[in-house]
Amino acid sequence: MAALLSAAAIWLSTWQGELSRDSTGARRSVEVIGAAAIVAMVALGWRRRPGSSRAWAAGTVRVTGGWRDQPNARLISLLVWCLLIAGVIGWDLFSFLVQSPSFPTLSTLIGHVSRHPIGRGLLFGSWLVVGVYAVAGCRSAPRR
Amino acid sequence: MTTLATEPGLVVWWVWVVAAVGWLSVLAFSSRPLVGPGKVVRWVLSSWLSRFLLVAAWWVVGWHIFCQRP
Repeated sequence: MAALLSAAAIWLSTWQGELSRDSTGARRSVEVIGAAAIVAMVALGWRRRPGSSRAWAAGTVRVTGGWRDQPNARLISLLVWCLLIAGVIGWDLFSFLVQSPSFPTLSTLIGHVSRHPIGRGLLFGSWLVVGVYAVAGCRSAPRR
Repeated sequence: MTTLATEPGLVVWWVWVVAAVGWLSVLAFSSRPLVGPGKVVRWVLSSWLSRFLLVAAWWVVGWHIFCQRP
């Protein structure tokens, strides 16, 4: 099954690499993969369903509110993660607002890669891998 | 002529890349109980809402890269 999925992903990435952004095939394939991802996420996670969203949000608020009680190592690593994520998003937003060739957005930088068939194919393959992980990540959770 | 490598915006992107690689190196070699990327991802995947938002963001990124960028 895994070999079949891998072969399909490689074929799809190779095919996608030859397409342009305006082609119907590129648009339809991304639409179909998105719909399939939602269906697969629900199907795979149904019996191993994650915790409730309310409990997740409450837990997150509790941890954030009680940051003084967190161990130093945990607090520092959470701060570094926040800094990195907020920094990348903030710089991308700033570059987008400036609209200058001297301040390329992340999208512009990725465009330098995706304009080549090989780069587009590799990016598509990477995108698929991330999607599969996000969709099937629940498989590692214990069955309820 | 200004090359891509000397653009100020690009320099900042390189700073973020170096910072991310440096942080991942610290996580890989530190013996302290730091929060690694696996834990962050598991936290995001641990509820339906956050999981759905992650998949939605993933799809939007895919649409932007493959249907809007060259």
